Amino acid sequence: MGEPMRMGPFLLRAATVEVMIDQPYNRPDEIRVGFVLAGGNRFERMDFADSVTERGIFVRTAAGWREQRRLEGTSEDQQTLAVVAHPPRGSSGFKVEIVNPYGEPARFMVDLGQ
Amino acid sequence: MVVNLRTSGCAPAALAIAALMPSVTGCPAPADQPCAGLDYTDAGVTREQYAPCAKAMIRKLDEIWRDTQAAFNYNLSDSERARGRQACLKASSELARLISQAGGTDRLTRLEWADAELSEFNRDIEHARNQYIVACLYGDALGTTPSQIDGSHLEARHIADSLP
Repeated sequence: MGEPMRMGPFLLRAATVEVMIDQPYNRPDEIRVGFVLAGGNRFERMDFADSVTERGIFVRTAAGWREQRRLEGTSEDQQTLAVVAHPPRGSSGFKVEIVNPYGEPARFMVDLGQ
Repeated sequence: MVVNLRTSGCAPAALAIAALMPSVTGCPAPADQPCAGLDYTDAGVTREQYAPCAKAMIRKLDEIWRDTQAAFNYNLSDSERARGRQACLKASSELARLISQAGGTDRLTRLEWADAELSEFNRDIEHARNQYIVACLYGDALGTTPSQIDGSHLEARHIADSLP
């Protein structure tokens, strides 16, 4: 996590991970990964996020659960974005898989840890 | 800075001007594509550059409104009303093409432009278009014959009239 990913003229970096805990059971309930995006103007950044969503951005767990999610801008300047997923209770070993709209490399895997 | 000369269709002119004025980044859109090649910055699009596109959108919206009126004018024959409805749908798709050339609905309405009036214009166009499409497609079924021009249409026209 934290390694910048070059996709065409854009540089995307996973910056934060927040895990909401299901209190009675003390298990992860929701995972929110924050990204920072550089390059282009805010309209181009919005288009980039839509392209990533369209090509595929997935949250995965070590147990093999995988869900396609949206990459959403969280600020008006579109420099901060987020992916939110609701993995099965008790999940661990989270990763985000991103299909590169620009093709080379074909995909990135971001290891979020336990 | 990216200047897409290949798709804009004005390369020779742009190159000649660029030689004289290094700050030039875009070129006028072809007359038949008034919304093509808009130069987006973080602020959106300038009034000067957006004006021909906005005015073309309003003309198209006016056309849709006229066709909608024909589609629901029960003094006309069935075939005349059917022609009105077809014309309304055709004009709607032409307006959709203008919006697409301008960057698409997301660029026009999802992010606020620095010029609040242009943002308002974009939302008004989208709202009026949706109202008219529903009327064209389902007016009879819904029993809602459009009797008045949409308020968003009027507001958008007012803004377009104020553009240079």
